[in-house]
Amino acid sequence: MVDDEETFAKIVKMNLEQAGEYEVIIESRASKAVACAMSINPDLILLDIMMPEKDGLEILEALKKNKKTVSIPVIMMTAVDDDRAKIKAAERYSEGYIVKPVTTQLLKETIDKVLTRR
Amino acid sequence: MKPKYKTLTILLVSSIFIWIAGAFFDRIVFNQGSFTNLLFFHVPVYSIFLRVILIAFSTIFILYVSQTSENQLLKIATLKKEQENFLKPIRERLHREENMVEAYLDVVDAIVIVLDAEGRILLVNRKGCEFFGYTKNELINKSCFDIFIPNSMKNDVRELFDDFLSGRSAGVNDFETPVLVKNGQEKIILWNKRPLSNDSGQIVNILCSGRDVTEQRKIEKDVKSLASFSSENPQPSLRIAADGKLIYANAASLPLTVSWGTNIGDYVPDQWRHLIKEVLSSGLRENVEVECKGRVYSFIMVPLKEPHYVNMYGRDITEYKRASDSLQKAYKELKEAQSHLIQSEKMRVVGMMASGVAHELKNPLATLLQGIEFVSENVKNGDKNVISILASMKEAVTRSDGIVRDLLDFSRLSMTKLHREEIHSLIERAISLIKPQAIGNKIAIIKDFGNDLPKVNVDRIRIEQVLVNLFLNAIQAMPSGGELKISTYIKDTPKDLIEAGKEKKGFVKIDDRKMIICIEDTGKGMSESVVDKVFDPFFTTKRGSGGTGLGLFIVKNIVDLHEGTIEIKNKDNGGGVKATIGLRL
Repeated sequence: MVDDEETFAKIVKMNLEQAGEYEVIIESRASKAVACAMSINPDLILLDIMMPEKDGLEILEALKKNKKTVSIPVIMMTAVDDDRAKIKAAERYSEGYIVKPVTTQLLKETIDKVLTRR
Repeated sequence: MKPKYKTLTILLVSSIFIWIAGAFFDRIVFNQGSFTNLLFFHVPVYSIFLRVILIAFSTIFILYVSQTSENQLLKIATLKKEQENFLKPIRERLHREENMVEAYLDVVDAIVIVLDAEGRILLVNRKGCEFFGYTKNELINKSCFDIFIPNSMKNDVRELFDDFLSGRSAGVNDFETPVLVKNGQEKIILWNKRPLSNDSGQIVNILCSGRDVTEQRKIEKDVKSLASFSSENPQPSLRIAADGKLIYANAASLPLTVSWGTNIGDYVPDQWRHLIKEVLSSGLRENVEVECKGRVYSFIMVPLKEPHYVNMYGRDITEYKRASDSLQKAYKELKEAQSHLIQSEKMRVVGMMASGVAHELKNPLATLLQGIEFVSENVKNGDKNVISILASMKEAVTRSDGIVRDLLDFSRLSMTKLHREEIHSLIERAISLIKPQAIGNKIAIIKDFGNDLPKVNVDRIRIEQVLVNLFLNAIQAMPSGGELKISTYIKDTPKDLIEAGKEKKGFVKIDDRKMIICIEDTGKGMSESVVDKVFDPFFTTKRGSGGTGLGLFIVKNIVDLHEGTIEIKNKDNGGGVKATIGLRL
């Protein structure tokens, strides 16, 4: 989970891990997101968009251009509720788009849907 | 001298003459002495004898002649006296009659003149003298042509006069001529002539009676000039009787009367007759505008009770109207552009702020929501109060998120883009979005769509948003089921109203045609306090169920951006709410 809001990320991690068989690793520094993904090779990435160091959509593009990370499904989880952002994300092959605030239920369903699809 | 003395004198003179002649004869023929002797002293006896005989004869002759002439004179005198006696009463009668005729003529209030064949005045009455300013003596035996016919008219009048005399204009008895009176003023006289003939039937005199019509002609001229005042008016003016008959219309009114198909004396069209009645009964002036053959006229209708008719004074205001219309249009466009600019600038600022604020709010809200969920899952003792409070907190977060979303939505209105769209496909799409909820609430959807409706200029997404919002409101108003009726039609001003409107109160613009979308529910309707506030931002009756109070506010803004109209009110017969959207065509 790439998100600069550490508190939020921590609570999401706790909620998800409590709700199912998930292991959530948090990367709060956007600049490290791709490297982190390459090193741990997660089943799925939850990616914020508006982050101080780097834009989430750029990270998405980098992930999808990178051979090692291209096959990792990415769900954008952001406060940006904007059609243009949604379109950009889709164009860069994100698998889902969740607008904050989000319930754990919806988050879980979306994650499961993406993982099942794969 | 008495005849007797006259005779004696003649006798004496003739005797002396004979004596002297005898002496003269004796002296010349017989040479018998001097003339004096022969005259007085030595007169021969034969000569005395001869002279006495001659004197005797001449005396007898003179006495005879004298006697005879005296008798004749006496006879003549007697005859003269007799004649005098005979003529006296006739003369007196004639004189009386003459005086009477003169008196009659003098009291006649007309100029009476008798002219001879040369045009000389034989008789003129007092009125004639007064009129011309001359005494009788100044006029009698003078040529009328010299005295009172103006130079410029002399030939014409002379010709007329000759025609009268010759009898060529026997049928014409009345004629008018200008005349000059003594002070040089020119006047007009209407003459009536009668020929006076002699025994052989020849017209010798002409009796003329004249009336001064100068003032009358002047008044007539003035009246005619006044009467032409209206006809000379380049603007239309008409007079219509109370029963709708056209009494008068000047030349400038022709386009209007032709368009009515009405001539003077005909009835004006029905709508005008009604208007005439209205104006007359109200007694108030009415302004109307009329479009006719590409021109626009403004009429002021002035009712007149006595006599009962309406005067209509028109003015061609086509150019003014055109200028005013284009000015108004320009003003409207400017105003619209300005308001659009202000609105879009406002929207842009609000949008920027809203999206910024929204983002800043969404992150803490997300944390809060996740936090509340975590606490809810892990609250140890299952305290009901804690659980309830956590539920309320979650709801508050959800509502806050709703407001943020609506704000974001509102901020995006500035990006509205209009395209020609088929309205029914928009409605169908919106219906498909709310259908599950309608079915879940046992609500039947009834569609009453108009046929062959034209496309409308709308932002598809926004109008769908409006429709979905209104549909959802309707569904929420019918928790225990009902009917959601959606109807579409064109609100067209009826033709007769257009006609009447054109002529009565102005123009019916094509802008007045609207596409109407009507959404009706069969719920309980709204209370009066709600009706007035439905479009107010943050006003909601559904705060408990997640209402933000921005839904209808946004709906109103979207409709405004389309320059449309929206009205939400209780149905006339009660039992539900009716939302009516009017979109410009």
